[in-house]
Amino acid sequence: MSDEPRHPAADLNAPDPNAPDLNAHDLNAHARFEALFDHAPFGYLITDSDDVIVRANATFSAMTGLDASALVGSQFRELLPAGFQLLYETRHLPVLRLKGYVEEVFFDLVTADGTVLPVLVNAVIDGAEVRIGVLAAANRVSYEQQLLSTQRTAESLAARVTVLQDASSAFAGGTSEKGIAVSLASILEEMLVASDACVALVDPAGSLDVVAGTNALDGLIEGDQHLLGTTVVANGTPVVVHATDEDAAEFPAVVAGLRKARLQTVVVFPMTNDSTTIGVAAAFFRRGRDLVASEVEVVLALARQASQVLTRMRAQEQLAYAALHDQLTGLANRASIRSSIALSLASPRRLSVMFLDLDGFKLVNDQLGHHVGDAILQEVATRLRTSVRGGDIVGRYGGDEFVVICDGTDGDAAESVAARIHDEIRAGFAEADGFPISASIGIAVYEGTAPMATDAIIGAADAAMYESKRLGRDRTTRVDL
Amino acid sequence: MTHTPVRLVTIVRSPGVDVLTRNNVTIIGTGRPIIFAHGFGCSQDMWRLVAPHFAADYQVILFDHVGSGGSDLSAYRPGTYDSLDGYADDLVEIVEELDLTDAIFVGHSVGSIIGLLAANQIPSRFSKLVLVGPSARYVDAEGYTGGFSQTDIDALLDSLDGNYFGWSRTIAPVIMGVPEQPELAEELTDSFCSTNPTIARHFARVTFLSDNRRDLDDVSVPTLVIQASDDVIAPMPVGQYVADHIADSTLVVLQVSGHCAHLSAPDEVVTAITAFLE
Repeated sequence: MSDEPRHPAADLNAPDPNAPDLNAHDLNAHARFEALFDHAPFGYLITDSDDVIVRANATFSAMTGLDASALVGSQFRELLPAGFQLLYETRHLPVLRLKGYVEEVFFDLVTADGTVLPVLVNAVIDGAEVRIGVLAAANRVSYEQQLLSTQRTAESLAARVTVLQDASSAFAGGTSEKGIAVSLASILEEMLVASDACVALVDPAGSLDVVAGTNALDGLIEGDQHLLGTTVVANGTPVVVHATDEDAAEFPAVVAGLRKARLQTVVVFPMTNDSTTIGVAAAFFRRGRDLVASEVEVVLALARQASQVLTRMRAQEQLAYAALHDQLTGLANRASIRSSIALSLASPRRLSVMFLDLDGFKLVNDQLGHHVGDAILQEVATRLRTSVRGGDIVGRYGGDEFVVICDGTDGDAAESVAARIHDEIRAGFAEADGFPISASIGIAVYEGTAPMATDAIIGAADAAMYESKRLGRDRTTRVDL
Repeated sequence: MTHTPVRLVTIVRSPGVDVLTRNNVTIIGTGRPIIFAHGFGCSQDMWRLVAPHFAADYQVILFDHVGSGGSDLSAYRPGTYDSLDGYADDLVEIVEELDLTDAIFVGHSVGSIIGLLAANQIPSRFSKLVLVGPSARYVDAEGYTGGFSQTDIDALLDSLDGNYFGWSRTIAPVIMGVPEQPELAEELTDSFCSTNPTIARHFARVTFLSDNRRDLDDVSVPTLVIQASDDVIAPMPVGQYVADHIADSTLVVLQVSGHCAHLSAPDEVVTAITAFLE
């Protein structure tokens, strides 16, 4: 704070009538300067270092409707509305003090009758005083604000178009579920100005699994509590939860989670493809947010677009799966078996191929029907899977014929696998009580020495299987190639 | 509800980011660390009349919040800086990067709240907090007088629009008739308090609509509140509220006018801080 005494207002506001020894010329010059000051074509003030007005010209009084006696002794800041006082104190005065001057600062002045007058202000520090020039600027300010508003609208629209374009190319170029989910999460985060976003998809077991982004509410979107995510999946509509006492009544755990994570709002959107909700996308905000309808629409459209791509991707995966798997048992199908064997034969190493045909199956099929027959085949598939070793491939070759590929395996090891299979199949089937079922197996063992064709090794295993049948079924015949 | 400062969500500290460049960190002198944080509307320039007084005995650390002064504007993510926690996380990173302990924090205005939030995250690294003109909430609420209404804050945003419209124009130095200032000084001072207008608008919204009253209860570090006797931004009852709600706190009232005592009465501010540190 300045220790200097403030200028007595009366000394500065008018020429002192008692001033001694001024000749006519001096008086004339003095009056001219006073007139120049008072009637300058802009408001002119002098304040002390505490922002207190010590002098104001007549033009400023006319602008504000406040005469000099009302102005002098009050702070310049007091002429501003509260919002502008914030700017005045936090920016204008610091810059003025650091820099020595400011120019073209825009303020609203509150005039005597309460109307608001937009002005532009230049200020210069001169010793302990500040000189302030004030220019009415209503037209210019309103013009600039219109420009700014138009510019903002244009930028916001352009940004939205960019988001949609980026989304389209990200989704179109996506090659994996995760890639699509990551794109959607990052687009949401950027577009909604969220602190974090995540995407959770409904997994085959029916629960939500976060596959992309950051889930700032661990356990509340996914996991045991299934609080928010499953609500959104069930209803197919977005849910907004704020960290307020009102929302705590409905979503107590979510609000508690938001507060712990120092978040104010979470919005969870459904990812819906036609009528099926395949997952959710969530956006987290550190400050309270209410999305406008147009924002929600855009997000839902993006989520729908992502869902369609994901659904198409899953359909393609299913087609690819179907092409290589037996529909009834889920085992590798004939095409898949043949390509696996061909792949093994491409490198010179040991390979045992086991051909298996069920004994007694035709009778079950004929007497108990195809329905029971199919159930037996499914059960056999299960028992084969549990009998083989980790790297072995089990396939259904057709009808009641199965193939087990034991890559890198010699004949003895393959025979012990076959022995386990015999035990498993002999154990009987609840669906066909009283019908004896067993397996005839042929094993072709290839040592990896000479070149070998796929058909040759399958044919050899098949022939060995027939040998087992001929010898009385329920046994293994091995042929070393 | 009881409020815990412990974060359940692990924040992954920006890997590979040079936090000292990002926040334009300036270090002067050696000794016990004293960190200065600026408020809304300016940059570390704000401390130029105060910070040098400590350089002889302390390691003085100055920085710019992301979006202000010489910070790396490309580090600005609006979603991250949508609450003061984003700024506090940066300060935590600076303190951890410099491995500071027994640190004194001095913050002005919203900068003081940012430091308080950082100290609540890593209290063991701070030994003293000095809050100059703090406000836990600017907008009035039930049972609380912050001094401003939502309408006032909207008007502030309008005022920013009016003022930052010509932001790019004012980058080019415009020489004004200030005889005391040589041209060199003109060049040096031209960057004072430079602020990106878009970020300033967001920072204003985050600052003046923030409510950090709950966070005061969590402060465990001894704290000095420096209150100006005539401050329209953070008036006496607001500073009193802050001091009342911080367990181990002292309120010092300086007979100065305005929100920036460290600029208008730097010697008094230095004296108050020094007395608190002794």
